[in-house]
Amino acid sequence: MLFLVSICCILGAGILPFFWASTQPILSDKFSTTMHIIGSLSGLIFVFIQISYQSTIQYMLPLQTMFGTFSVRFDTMSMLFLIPIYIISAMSSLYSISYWPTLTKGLSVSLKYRLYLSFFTLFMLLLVIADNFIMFLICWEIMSLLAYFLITIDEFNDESQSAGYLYIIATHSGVIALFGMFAILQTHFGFYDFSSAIGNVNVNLDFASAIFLLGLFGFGIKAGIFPLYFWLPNAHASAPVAVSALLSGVMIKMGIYGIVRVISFFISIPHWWGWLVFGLGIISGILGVVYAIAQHDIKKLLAYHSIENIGIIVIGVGLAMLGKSYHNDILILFGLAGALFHIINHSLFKPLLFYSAGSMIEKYHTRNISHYGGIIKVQPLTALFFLIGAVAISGLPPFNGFASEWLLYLGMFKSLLSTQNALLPVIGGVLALSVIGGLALACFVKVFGISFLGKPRHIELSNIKESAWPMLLPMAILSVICFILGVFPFVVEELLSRIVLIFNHQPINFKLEAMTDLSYAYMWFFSLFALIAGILFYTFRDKIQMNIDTWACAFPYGSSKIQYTPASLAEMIMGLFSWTLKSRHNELSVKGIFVKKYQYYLHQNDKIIYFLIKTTDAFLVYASKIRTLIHNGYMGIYVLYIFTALIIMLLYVGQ
Amino acid sequence: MFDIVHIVLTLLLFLVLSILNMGIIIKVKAFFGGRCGAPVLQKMYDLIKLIQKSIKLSTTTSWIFFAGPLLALIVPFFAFFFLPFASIPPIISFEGDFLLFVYLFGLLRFFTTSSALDTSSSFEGMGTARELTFSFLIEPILFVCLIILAKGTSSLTLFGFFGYHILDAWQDYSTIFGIVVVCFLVILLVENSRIPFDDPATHLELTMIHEAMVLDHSGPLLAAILLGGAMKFTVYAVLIVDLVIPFKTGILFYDTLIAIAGVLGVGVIVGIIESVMARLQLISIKKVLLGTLIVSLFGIILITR
Repeated sequence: MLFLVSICCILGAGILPFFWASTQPILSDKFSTTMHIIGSLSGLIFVFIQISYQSTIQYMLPLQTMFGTFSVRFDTMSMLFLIPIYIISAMSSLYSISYWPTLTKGLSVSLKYRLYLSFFTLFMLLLVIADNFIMFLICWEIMSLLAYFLITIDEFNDESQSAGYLYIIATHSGVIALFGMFAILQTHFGFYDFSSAIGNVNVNLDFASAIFLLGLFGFGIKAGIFPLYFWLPNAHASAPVAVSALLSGVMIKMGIYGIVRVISFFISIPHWWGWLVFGLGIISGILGVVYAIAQHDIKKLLAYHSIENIGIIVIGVGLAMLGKSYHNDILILFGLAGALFHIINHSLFKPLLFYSAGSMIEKYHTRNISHYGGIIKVQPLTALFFLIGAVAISGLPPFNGFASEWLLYLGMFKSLLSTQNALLPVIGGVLALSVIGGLALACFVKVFGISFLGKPRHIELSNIKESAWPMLLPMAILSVICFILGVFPFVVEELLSRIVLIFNHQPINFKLEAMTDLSYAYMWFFSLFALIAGILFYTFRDKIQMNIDTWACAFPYGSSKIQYTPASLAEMIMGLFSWTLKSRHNELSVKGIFVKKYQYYLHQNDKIIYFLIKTTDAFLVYASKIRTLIHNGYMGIYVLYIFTALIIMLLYVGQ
Repeated sequence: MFDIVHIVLTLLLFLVLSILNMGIIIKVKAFFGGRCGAPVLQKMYDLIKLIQKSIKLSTTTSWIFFAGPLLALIVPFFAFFFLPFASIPPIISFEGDFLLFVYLFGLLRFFTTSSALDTSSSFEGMGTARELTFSFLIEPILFVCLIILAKGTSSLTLFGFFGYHILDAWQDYSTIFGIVVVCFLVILLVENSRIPFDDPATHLELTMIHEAMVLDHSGPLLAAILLGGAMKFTVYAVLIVDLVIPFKTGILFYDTLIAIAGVLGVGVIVGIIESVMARLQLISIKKVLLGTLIVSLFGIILITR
């Protein structure tokens, strides 16, 4: 019942502006947001009630097709994915009050924007509760199309149009694979919905591997696993910020949802599936963060971090799969629980980072971080929220990113003690996570330090004020949730371990009760921190004098251009990874004794996307060359074709 | 009641050892240079002098600038809570505490580097870039060592690593634990910016790593960083001593004496290394660290044998 209320409210949030927006634009924006938030709140209440009752609801909808009856099913895994959809869509709607006001953006565009936003939310909701395959596919397709409309909502922006084009190509290649997968499931195995297929597909039959590979491809494109992420950086970068937050925080998780669902169909899992998923996770994790460090476009950088975090999640899923095929219960439990927890965490701190990045982009009209600098002075709250997001995404205590990575680490270390055969995944996983952690830290020190600290590099800050409250409030809410989940991670233990049962089909001997100790240690840390910081502040508060310039080696501090740039900060680390990068630099040659002007550009880009696009391009050129042999433009040849066709038909008829 | 006194005494001992260790390194270096050197407690005099000064801040800085020194003081102190010292069990111990231990130092690094960038100085940017690169290379080595320790002692806490099983583990895996000790020594030298990886006493800002990041900290802030650095050194020294001296006499007094001697011994060894070696080139530091990583991976191969 509450769920229906939430759906109606979110639907209303998209449709009602059509009646009001022309006469009272400001009020209609706020009303639409209120509807969306009411919808989300009632939905969240519904989810929490269902979680506490531990019940599974199943409804048959009165719609019968040749592919089975449409049906919805609320199980624990759906509940887990419903939470971020509700929270982040409500936050994006709130953010849009001042990010996408009807008054300045124009009536028709903002009507479309709100409509797409609400429908996008709606179909994601339906997607995770869909039980019937064909209903799932319909929701999947509509969700993908709405994401395309949201990415390309700015009709006059070439960048977003081309990014949307790449996205639609990618997502449709994925959908073809998904159609294939569900077709095999229906024709060869006779399953029409998820609930009947779970735990009932035998791996030893033909086509089992085909199901897995098609599913991995189809869902992997949406999730952005290496090497299928090629659409992701551009789409996330050129979409409006509130949409990027939804895409990165929620939509790409639908791919993971699909992968976990597909894997849970199978009773047992061959070894190579787990190794494949695990390896892809490691590669996407490391490459994602390396490309993120090379980026200077803040939204592209965050998009690459999505790839990195998807990598961490996929490492967890891969560990669970390996655990299943090697009969290692600890890996199943901790791997999947860590992955699912990281899904929730990433869907909290990534939108937080996108919102605070948007709050800067609004003011400075550029996404290039080498133009920023010193923003903490004029936008202190944005800076604080970005800092919280940055610490959380780098996986540092006491925020939630650490809690989920800790769970993954702990699972790997625990399995080390139990059996011998888990050693290789443990070494690989631990090394990958530690490298990813170190690089993510470097990357976010770079972003935070360059854009918020120091002196302004190119842009005058004097006229700039802090953003309006509708933009700050979502960030504040998400920061608080990040902190609470980081300090009290044990609140999700119960939920996570119940989902693992869906995946594993049978009870696990171990329990997930490690995270209360973490909260206990944090309590020590916070009391120590408060004590020492309080004493020091009280003692030294009168001694602070802020009246000198930065030390510049006994010279007066020159121009703010002498500061380190993002490229120079990343140069040392990039030197270690130069083999994965396509770099291009040009240097204005220095002439004369007194150098008047010196310029140096460095562009480092993703070699993999470059390679993929180049090979596809070469293939298409080759194919079109073959096509021109037939379609060569001579009238005589075409007449000859017609005659030949006629003769063949005559011969055929004459027989 | 005894427990609280115990804890306070241990923490005080830790503080004293930190300050002493810095003085001992200076003494050893002076001995090798043929000088008599500053008194062993010189660090404490420095700190007292610095605390009395006022805090001069650049106009560019923000509140982030205070976060670095504050965490530099708190994190090593808190990290000591996880470590067993002599036969005294740690104050906090739970499964997976070593991960929190490692990542707290990550948190410290985040804020030290951020507060360096807060000053808009190009030297501090340089120091930041170097610190980030080298610490990212250190992290895998540390985790490989932790895997070896977890596997060797079959436990998942720092107390378990260095507590009761360590003597048996040494008998089974003496070669591998030798590798771990070497790796820990490299980690200690890099993390605490000692020669051959970094030289805090160099005269040129261009060649520093860690010291370049704290150029603009003055007075009590600098004191916090110096004391924090000394405590960090001692935390790593305790880590090494716990591993190298697995014997326990069973009598608290003797155990404590042995552990104190061990921690000061690490200071002497570092002083000797600093005296007999020159600083490495920045480029070759990367190679040394990657080499250490490979050595530590050999340890894993040996332990699975």
